Amino acid sequence: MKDAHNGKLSGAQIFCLLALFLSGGVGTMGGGGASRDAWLLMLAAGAAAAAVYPVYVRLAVPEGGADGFERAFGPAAGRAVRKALGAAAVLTAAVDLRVFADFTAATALPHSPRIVIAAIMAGVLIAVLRAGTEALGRAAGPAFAVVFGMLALSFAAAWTQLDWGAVLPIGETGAFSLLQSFVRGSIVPFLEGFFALWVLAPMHNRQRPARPAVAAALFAGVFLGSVLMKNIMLLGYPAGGRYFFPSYTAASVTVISEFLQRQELLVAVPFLMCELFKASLCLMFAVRALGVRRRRLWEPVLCAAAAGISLLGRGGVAEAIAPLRFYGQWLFLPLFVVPAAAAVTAALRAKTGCNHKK
Amino acid sequence: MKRMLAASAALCMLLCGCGDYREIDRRDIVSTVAADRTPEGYKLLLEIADMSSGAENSPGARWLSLEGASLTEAVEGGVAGTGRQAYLGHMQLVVVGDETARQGLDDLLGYLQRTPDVHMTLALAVAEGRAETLLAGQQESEAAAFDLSRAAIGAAQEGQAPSMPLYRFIADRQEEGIEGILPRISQENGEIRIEGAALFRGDKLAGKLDPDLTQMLLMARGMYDSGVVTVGEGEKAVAYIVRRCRARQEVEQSGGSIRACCTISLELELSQGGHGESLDEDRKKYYESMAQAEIERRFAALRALLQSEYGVDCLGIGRHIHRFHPSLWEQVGEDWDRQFMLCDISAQVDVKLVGSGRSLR
Repeated sequence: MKDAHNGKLSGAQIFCLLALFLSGGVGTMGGGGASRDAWLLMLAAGAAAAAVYPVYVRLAVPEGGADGFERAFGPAAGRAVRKALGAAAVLTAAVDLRVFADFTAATALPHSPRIVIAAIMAGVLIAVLRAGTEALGRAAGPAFAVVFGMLALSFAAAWTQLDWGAVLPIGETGAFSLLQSFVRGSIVPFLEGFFALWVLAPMHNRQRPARPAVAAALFAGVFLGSVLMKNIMLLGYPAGGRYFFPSYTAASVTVISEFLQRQELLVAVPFLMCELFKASLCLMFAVRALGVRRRRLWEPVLCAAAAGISLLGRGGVAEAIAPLRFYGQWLFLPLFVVPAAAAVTAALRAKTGCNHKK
Repeated sequence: MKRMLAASAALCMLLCGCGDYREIDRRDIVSTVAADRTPEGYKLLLEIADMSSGAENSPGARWLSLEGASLTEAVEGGVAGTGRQAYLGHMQLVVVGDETARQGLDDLLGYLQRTPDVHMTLALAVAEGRAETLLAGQQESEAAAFDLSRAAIGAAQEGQAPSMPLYRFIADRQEEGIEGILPRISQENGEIRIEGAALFRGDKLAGKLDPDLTQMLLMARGMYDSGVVTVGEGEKAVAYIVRRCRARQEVEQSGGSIRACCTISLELELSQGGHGESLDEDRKKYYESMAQAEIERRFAALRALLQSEYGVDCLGIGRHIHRFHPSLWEQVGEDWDRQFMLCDISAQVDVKLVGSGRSLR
């Protein structure tokens, strides 16, 4: 089996992988009651992530054989924190699979059992995990071109139909409501970037592994902000916020000509590709964080677990998205508070000279 | 590993395909629907594309009448009578009776929005009288399926009626400070005409406009791309072709009252009139001022109708205030229906005559 740790990734590959990972929510963003300022919050989230990612990278890159959590909390507690985050990554992968399955069912296969779609996706994820991070990195370049090319095309196609005033007024819902939306929605995909960076940062072939991460955060913030803006300008507000898959609906109402139809593909393909990259990187993190030794055995188990969790709960798209209202709050503690505490503690320990080593 | 990847790729093939697969002979491909409320629920008349008749590239039409306590029941119940499921994925026009529209369209909008097959670009229209009666008149003619929806698209392109796809009407319905408009369909001597606009307050029909005032409304809302403006009648009629129309709104509050100004900039070509005379600068100015006066007159008539008779802000003045003057909207938004009627609305019309096709003079 090819070992994921046997090589390096270039800065461009890390940039592409992270940008694809962060764009995993491009299909669902803006739905579920997000405010008219969702696009602005996405820009802010990209900027905030650019400030946070160097901390994530510092934690992810091992020093003296110990990762950031071990350096901060000691070997035992550090491992426990990492394992808890590994479990959170499996949950995130499961959420991805659930959204993937529901999207596929809602748009193409309404009568297919979700279990079939989830099982097929789990099979694909097992293959990706076996191929390793390097293979994923090699696929990232072409995938990046396809995904962002298609999304840019969908934006350009909608240009003449856009109602540019629809994004106004700004800040109507008030500062507290904006902050709530920021924490519950906009910052979530960027915080999830922790999982990807933990896998990617140690594999960077240069001295400054944070640079592609910061660039990807800014790029994704601007790009996703533009997509949200387009959705609001095309579908209106509050109407645009009431669709489960607003980007898909926005693409479906775009009229290029009578000859060119079904522009929904311009959004559906990037969405599904990004979801695949995101779920793969989450599970790659889980494999590392849980300290799995017999990968050939445990990788399929983790993929099956993610697929199994994704099938929990009954109902359709509405029921799948409902728990995600609080998903951001759940992730805020493990993916923001814990890494921040670890970074501060590790810095203090390094200063006082009581660093733990394996 | 390569075999594993190939197997995974092959598995992915299962994810693509047709949604809700059914054989074509078990489906009725619906092109147009006429919907009317009844005391028991809804009555629908479906125009169905008939591949076995019609011309080579244009299928013929057959008709199916359905009834049910709800729209869903009516559509789904159709399969019991015909053995075929009504497929709404190609539906391009939904005509609603005016009485149904007066009672409210939210039921219909909700149904269309929630049904995955329905495309959000389909057109809605309001019939004069019952929609079923209007569409039933088509049964006797040699009309092909989709004729009516093509006519609706044509009318919108010529500016005789609003172009209002479902998603746009829903957006207007839900946004603050603007009321929705839909095209009107009427029947005259057996001929169906799509012209004029139906005005809504919320989801309920509140009034209607004739084709001239509809054209004016579309110009003021910035929804007018091309069409014809005719001034006068008979031998003295002068016709202009609209090459370009731009609209801008400005609102200010002065002395406790709200003043709104719609600036409409038009580029026109002289199409009929002025033949045999030299179109020098003076004559150009004459024709420009003639068009300008006509547009201003129509705007005044439109304003009077919207403010005094119907009391509906189909111009989107409230939306403009909401977007660009949010603090003013906080003061007046709650009571906008009444405030709109008190607004001082004016128009500034700029007309520029440009050279026409074969003859500049």
